[in-house]
Amino acid sequence: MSEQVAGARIIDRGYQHYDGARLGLTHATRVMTWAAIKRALGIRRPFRHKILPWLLLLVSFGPAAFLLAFRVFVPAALGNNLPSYDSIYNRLTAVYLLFAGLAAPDLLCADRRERVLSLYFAAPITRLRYVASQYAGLVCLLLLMTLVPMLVLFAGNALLANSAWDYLRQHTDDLWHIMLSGALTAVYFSALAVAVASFTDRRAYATGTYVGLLLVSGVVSAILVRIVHFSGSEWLALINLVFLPVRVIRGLFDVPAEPALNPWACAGVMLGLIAVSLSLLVWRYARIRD
Amino acid sequence: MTTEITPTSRTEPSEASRAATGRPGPGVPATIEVEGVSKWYGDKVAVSDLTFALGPGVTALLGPNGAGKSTTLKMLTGQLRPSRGAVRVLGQPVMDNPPLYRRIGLVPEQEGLYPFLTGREFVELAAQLHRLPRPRQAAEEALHTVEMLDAADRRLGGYSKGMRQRVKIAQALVHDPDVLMLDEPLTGADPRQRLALMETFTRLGAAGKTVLISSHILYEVERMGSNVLVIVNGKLAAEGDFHAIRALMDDRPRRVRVTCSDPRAVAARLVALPGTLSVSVESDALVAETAAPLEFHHAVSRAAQGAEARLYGIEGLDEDLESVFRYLVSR
Amino acid sequence: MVQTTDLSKRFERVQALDGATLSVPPGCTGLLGPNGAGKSTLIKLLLGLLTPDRGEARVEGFDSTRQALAMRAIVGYMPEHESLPSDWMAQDFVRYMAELHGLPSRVAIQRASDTLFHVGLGEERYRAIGGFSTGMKQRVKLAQALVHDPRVMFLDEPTNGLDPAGRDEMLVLIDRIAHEMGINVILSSHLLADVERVADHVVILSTGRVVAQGALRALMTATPAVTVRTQDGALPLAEALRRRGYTVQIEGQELHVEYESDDVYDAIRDAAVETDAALVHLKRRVLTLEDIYLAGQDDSPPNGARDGAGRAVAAAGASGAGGQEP
Repeated sequence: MSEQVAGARIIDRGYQHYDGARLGLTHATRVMTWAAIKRALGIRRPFRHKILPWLLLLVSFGPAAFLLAFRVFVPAALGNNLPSYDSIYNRLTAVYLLFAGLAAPDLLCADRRERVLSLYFAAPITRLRYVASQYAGLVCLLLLMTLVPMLVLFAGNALLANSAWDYLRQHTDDLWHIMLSGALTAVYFSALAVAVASFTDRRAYATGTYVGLLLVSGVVSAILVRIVHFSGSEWLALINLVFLPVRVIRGLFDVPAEPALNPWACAGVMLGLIAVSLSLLVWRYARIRD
Repeated sequence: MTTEITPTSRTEPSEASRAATGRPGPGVPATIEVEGVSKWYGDKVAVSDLTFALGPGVTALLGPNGAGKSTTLKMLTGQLRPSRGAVRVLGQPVMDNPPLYRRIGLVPEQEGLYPFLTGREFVELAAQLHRLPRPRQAAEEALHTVEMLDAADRRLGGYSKGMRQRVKIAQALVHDPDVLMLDEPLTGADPRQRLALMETFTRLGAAGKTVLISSHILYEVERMGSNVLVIVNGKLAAEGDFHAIRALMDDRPRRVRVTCSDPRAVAARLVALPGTLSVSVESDALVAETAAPLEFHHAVSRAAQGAEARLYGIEGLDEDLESVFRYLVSR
Repeated sequence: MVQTTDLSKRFERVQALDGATLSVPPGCTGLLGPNGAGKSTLIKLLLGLLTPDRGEARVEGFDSTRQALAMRAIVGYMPEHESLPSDWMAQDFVRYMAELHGLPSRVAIQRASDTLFHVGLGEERYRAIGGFSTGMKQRVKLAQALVHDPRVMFLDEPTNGLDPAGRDEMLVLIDRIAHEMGINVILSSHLLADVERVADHVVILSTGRVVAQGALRALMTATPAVTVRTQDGALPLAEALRRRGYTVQIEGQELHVEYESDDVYDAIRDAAVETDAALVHLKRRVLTLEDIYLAGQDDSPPNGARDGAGRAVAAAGASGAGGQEP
């Protein structure tokens, strides 16, 4: 309260209580997800934390941007063999992988190592919501990279066609395939990354392990497929964790992959890996006793 | 609570412990001598022109965070080379002098423990490194002193902070050093452990060891001894018995609180004393500032008697180490 | 305000809490006990971070296990360990914690800023926490516990690592929080002097049980002794008092005079005038928190070790050190 005497007053700047609304779990979850997104992009952090994420983000838009630019300004240079959506996904796999491998440890490891989890878990949130929001934040950012450039490319193609509506009606399938591909890719790489990050407190180890694991899976798979031959041995190609999303994407777009495997089976394996990864994540965090 | 609690009494200091004041004197050679010691890192001056001497007994190393206490301790143990000046411990230069380290024990603040060793193994290792004739027994005694025998066979990695701290003290004591330097040794210890450890350090000081303790908890430090070294902003701000330091602070008059039945009447008489600088009156007491404390304390009972007031309490408000420290830091 | 009934929790072979029943009234309460007595387990159970094997814990009426989320919205926690993210700005982190506790964003931003000012970090709030000194980090921890206007705050060793000035400031803050801002505080600390300074009540644990609880001033009862210190001339003063029929014990320059009634004060005054003694200190001796604490711990072994059945494994060794003049 303030004191008032004929024309003067002193205003109390002391501690004020808060009697307003206290929002619930949904609000807290939204806040945590937003925080994860901002953190992974290096927002409100020193500049060096912004370089890699934004660079990767830009690169993910690269192919779509270039393609559209060429089509608008120098259409003759492109010829007739336009890169397809699935091939762009293939080329950008490394970018998605790297982004997830850098962001997931950033989101999860530091909080564990610096013991900030004691504070978070003493707040009115659940452990599940905490890990879910970090995961969701990462997935949102990856969706930004896997979905938006393709949608822009699609929209660009539509607008550059003779009739946008006709193009849309003829290529509706492509649209759905893009959505599914983008979503699966984002969810998949994020899941693997957060699972690995939940096992170590050190960011560098987590990123290294994640990238290493994926690369090794690729190498091992390539070697095995070449030297091992028995009936059904081509399924060993599924060991290649990096290429798995592209197999499914190629299946969606009806493009043959090498070796040819049933895309439904590949999708099944992919979903299985996602499920296992997320289970591991939840299990690890349920066990933390600070 | 129905059981009666009696306050525990202080033990009477023995002749020997009175002699071990932490200061060198006639017949008591200095065990730690520091002359003109400075340390700088590039442009930054950590410690500047320290000169002091310590003798057997307990001495407290005090100062605000960042004042240079840890740097000073490291130079005293030979872990850090001074940029200028000399450090001598037990009469010998402390740098590059491995035989001397056997007579010094150090409990640093940072952790440096191997998580896979057990407490006992860690202390025995220290005993072996000091080439003690019976390392196992020495380790057992040291662990007993710090009350870690029961937990001695568990791995260090599983210890709480307080347990790690006590094991560090054990490894510093295992070779019975003449000089013991401790950086915040009571961290993590519970109240009873603190008392036991404080008693151990007091006992070691009384037995003629030179014990230098760096701590922020002043009310504990003052129970172990009254010799202090105060470092502020990298410079030595004061050294010696803190009561004597207080007496030297002419610019800070003594504040005394007198609780009595008629504070106003008693105050009136105390104000009449030439040394009294001010008196403030409360409902049940008066607080006086005096430049002549001895005369004041003589006069209080006379004033109360003259005013026919009952005297319930007399208390010096700024005689303790905390007050002395506060004054030194704010100079 | 905070209540537990027969609260018990076991970890593998250790019975951390064994039927702890306590009731903490509003105000500032000190939580004391040896390492291993169950203090941190108690706090974790109260915060709903652990589920009890037996018994119940309630904070401001909320059941800590079944109504954990609702309870945590009105509780602030300042843990012992550093627990701060080094690359966040102080303002951002405190705001985030406010939002996690249910405050809308606009309010959270404003309160974070205000709270950081209240704890003395106004100027530094846009700097990264990693660059803060220990004292500043403790203040940030306090701020995040305070920002959402909790009804109860749990502070675990809040003066850890602070230098004397910092400790003093922190205790002043805690005092203000408990007694001016009207927020209940539960303070867990090994520094009995800190607790004596700010607490209204204490709860003392030992080996998983509550061995004492009550209002501090009520527990710190007066003893039948008056302590007198003179500059010199203790002996003549003692003789003068003995002549007046009082029992006096001398320890150096300190006299312990037996108290039977307030008349002893007049006797001391008159004896001092008679012997021209300089009375430097005069006070009715009162039990200190240390005395109370030690009395409650007498039968626990110094090594604090207990086996699964709760039997003391080693005999008590160290004797208590001197009682402190209040």
